[in-house]
Amino acid sequence: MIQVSELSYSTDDGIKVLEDIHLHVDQGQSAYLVGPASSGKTLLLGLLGAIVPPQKGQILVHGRNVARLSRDRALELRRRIGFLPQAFAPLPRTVFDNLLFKLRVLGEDREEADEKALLALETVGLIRERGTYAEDLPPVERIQLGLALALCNSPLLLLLDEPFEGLDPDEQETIGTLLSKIRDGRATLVVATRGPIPRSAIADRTFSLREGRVSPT
Amino acid sequence: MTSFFFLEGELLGAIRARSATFLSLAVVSLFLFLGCFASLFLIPSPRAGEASGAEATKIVAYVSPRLSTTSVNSLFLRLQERADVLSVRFDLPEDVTSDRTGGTFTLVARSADAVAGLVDALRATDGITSVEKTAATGGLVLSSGARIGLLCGLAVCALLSLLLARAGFRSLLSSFRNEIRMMRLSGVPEREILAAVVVAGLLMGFLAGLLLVVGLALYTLSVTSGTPEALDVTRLIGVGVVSLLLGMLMGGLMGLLGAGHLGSSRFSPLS
Repeated sequence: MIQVSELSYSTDDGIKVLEDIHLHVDQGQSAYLVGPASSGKTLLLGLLGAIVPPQKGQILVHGRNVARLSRDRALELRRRIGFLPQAFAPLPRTVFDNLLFKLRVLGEDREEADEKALLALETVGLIRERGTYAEDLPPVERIQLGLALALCNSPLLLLLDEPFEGLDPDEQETIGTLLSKIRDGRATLVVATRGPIPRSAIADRTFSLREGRVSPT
Repeated sequence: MTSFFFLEGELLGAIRARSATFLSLAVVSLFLFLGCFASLFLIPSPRAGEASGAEATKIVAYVSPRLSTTSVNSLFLRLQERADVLSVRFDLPEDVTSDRTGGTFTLVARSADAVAGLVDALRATDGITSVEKTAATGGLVLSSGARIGLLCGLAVCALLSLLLARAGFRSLLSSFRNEIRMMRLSGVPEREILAAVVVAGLLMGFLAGLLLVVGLALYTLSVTSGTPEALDVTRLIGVGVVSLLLGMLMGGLMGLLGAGHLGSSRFSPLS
């Protein structure tokens, strides 16, 4: 569950990027955050993911107040959050090795990492491409790989930044279908996009982010 | 610990031609730095050289073939007891290439001043047919100028190794930036990323130190085949160990300098 209240964020120059944000997403729900470029979507995801420390307001992620977490606790929380960054760039290695890298640096042993990597690839439909060099993948499969990376260590929360960017309508529908499939699991899903949301994507809640303010649509 | 070794291996595996060039040059500079450091302690100053006999000339005295074994033994003992003799060795006739002799005494004078007197005394000794002076091996002496030069070299090499390592790590981390971003996104503690870079620096320092120890071992072998008397093994081992530790300290510093790049926005997980 995500509960955001009275969240504000300003740049060092005093420019307000987010102002008095209130947001609520239940466990297992999918929420779409729709807004134009530079509207603060990435920043909001960074705040939800405990990557950017909040300045004002409260963010509760699965019962933990992000603002009050110690550095170690914030890292612990981050391990339970899968994040697909905007314009995701895979590592210069095979699809399978991309997943292995993440799982191994998180402390999984080789056998366990192999198992989790295969499961994640199977979930996103990339199992046949596991030996392919990740940088040779077409854009839609790169996003699938990014999703596999976000999913591979069974996160409680998935934060996806512009997963439809640079894809044609058919490919957007493919990713939309995949997100609906992932939503059926127990993870909470927050997707930031400039829109429109593909028809195949199931959105439990949709928010609009404009001029630093969030409003339900 | 397993994840640390995995990360270290991945980081070292990301070394490409550019970073390899800079990092190799940093190791070479560090090796030269350690070489200057070791030279300052191993090569004696002129005064110290006289005291230790390192500057002494090697004197070869040819023994008459007619001299009996007893006389040779007695002469050996007499030479050994002389205050101006640092060392004396007898080589049998079959070990000497010249066929005009019944063997040779090879002496090292205790100081350069004592050489002339010792040569005269040998020439006046019955049973010695001729005396030759040869340049002694291990006679390297560090003058004040050379010492200042070494100190300058030490500073230049230290600075150069740090600058080269900084450039090398910048290039290495640049080719590892997506991995760093992914680790930061995934919640890998910052200290683990930092430690991987510092340990890479430590390994470089250890490598440079090890190269120096090998160099010192080769130096020891070459000296012991000439005048082993001039060799202070304890000092040599001490300098080797200290150089190795100094190399690792410098390597750690190089790693810390390299890790300084991690603060760049290029490695920010949301960039």
